[in-house]
Amino acid sequence: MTALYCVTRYLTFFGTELRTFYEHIMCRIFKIPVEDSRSFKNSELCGHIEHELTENTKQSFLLCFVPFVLNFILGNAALFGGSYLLFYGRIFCLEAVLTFWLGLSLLSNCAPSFEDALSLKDYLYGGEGKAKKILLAPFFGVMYASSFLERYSLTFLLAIIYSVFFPFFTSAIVF
Amino acid sequence: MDKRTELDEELERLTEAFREELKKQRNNDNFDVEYELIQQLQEEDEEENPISEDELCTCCGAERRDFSRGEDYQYCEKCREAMKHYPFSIHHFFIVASVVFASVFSVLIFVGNFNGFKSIYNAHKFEKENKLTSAIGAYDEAVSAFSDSTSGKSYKCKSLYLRVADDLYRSMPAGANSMSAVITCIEKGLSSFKAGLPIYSEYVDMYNDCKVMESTYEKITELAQNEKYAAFTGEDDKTYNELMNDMEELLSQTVTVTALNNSKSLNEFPCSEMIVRYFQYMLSYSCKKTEQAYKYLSLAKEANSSAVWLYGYDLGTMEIQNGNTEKAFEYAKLMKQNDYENSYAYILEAAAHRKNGNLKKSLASCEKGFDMGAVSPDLYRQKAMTLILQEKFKEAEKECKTALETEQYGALYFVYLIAATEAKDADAVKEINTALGDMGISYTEKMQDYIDGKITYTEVLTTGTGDIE
Repeated sequence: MTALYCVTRYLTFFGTELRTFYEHIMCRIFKIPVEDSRSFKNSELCGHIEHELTENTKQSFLLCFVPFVLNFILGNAALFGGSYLLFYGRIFCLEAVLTFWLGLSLLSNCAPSFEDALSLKDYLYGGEGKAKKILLAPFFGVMYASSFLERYSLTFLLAIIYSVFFPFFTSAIVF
Repeated sequence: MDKRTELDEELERLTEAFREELKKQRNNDNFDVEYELIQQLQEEDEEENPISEDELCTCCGAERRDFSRGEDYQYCEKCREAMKHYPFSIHHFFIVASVVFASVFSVLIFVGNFNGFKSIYNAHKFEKENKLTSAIGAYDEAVSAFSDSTSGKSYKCKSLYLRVADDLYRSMPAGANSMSAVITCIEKGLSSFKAGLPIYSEYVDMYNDCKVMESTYEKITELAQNEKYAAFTGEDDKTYNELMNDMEELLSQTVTVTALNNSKSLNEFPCSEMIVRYFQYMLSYSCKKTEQAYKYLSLAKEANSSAVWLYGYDLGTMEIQNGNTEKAFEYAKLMKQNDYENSYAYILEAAAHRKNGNLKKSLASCEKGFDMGAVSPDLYRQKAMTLILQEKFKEAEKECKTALETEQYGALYFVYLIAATEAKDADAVKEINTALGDMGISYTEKMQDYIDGKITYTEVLTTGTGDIE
């Protein structure tokens, strides 16, 4: 499973690099010591940086959320050109294929590491603060589920499905 | 070993004591001096008592691990501080810049081709609503938008041509012209290589079908232009039977068709039975052999029941003549299911309602047809006939005038003539008769009877065919 996971990280090179970069930036901002900032390593932490545990809920949440959102936004932006040309207009050309692959790479690297997701879960639901738990529940749910699925490379599959059908469910909004 | 442990404990106590003193002596003038002394003592202590390997920091390998963070903590205080400022790899910045640039570029591609995508969206919407005429128009707009290089790069949209071909084949809005359009679209959309792939076999079949229909049509036209039929006016039964037999023989003949995008490869197919039967129907109908006309049209339907665009309206009209308005409604429904914008579906429906005496429903069907964007002048003619039956002659005249702006033909003029006569509009009557004379159109039997006063307008529009002939 780790081998398959690593292969999908290599295939989605750009997304992997960007996610580690965002995580590194967040660690810098919150002064969380970084132990290993390599993007590619043959372990379950391939595509994530190794860092010490966060110290509070805010750090934990932002460490998971910011890379997720940034990759999601850029991924969707890339799909506007690629996916629309390939699957909506059914026009096969180089720029369509490249932008589609870029979008797919970014979208399959949105999830935080499972350790970070578990850490967030402990902070959110291990203490008090009902309002915080309810407010952040949807975001936590998505990030936790995606980090779980990423361990089995299912986010890659989901990203493919999302990318292919992207124009069909956004066209009603856009047009 | 015991001596070493005692020494360690002693050193720890001393270190604690020094730390307490350090705190007390913060404001002491001699603080720096004393602090230096303490540092010196510590260094001397480390020299005398070196750090064991398992206590060394895994990062620098020189300092003692910071056990205040836990027994298993791997790093020293200094390294931990340094890890908070772990340097970025320079290549990350290049990657971020290129990804952002590529994403913006992708959005620009979308924006540059927005009109094309929007047309495709509209086409999909129309297809869902079964409005094939509008869908075809939207796809044509999309192809133009993508091919237009003024807003950026132009794209070849081969698959869009196939979608147009699909919709054209289902609806055939322009009859024989649509067949040519289907052939052209498939030739543009499929290369000879793709034509060999199983996923495109449906389009190859569509292409061959249209080619066969075209070739059969050409054969029939050639047959009809034969010298022996030059003098045929429709009254000579012998010539009629000969022509019918000649057409019947076509069913056992074949047509040669070039393969898709490969003029060197030829395929043979039997003549299209549907086209032959339809022409047999047209011949019998024009020779006023109604029963035979009905028979051949039914055979055309059996040959290809999905080609409702061909037989639907004519068969429905014949059913109205036979008094089977329910069947006419069924055909109208089938035509609408095939293409919601087919004006003939609404014309048929309006005629059936009119035959049943439901004039309001007849008018409603006409209005629905207009709402669909149907611009057939015959729809105005149907509405005019219903208005005449409602004795709204002036309104009927108005509808006829609107229709005449699009097309001028005999049946339309006849309805206009009835409306103008009943409205006592002498100028219009004169104008119509002049136009009919110029076009060389003579009155039908029914119209002649009406002009002669033998039948009323109600009898013209409700008996027999429910029309002017």
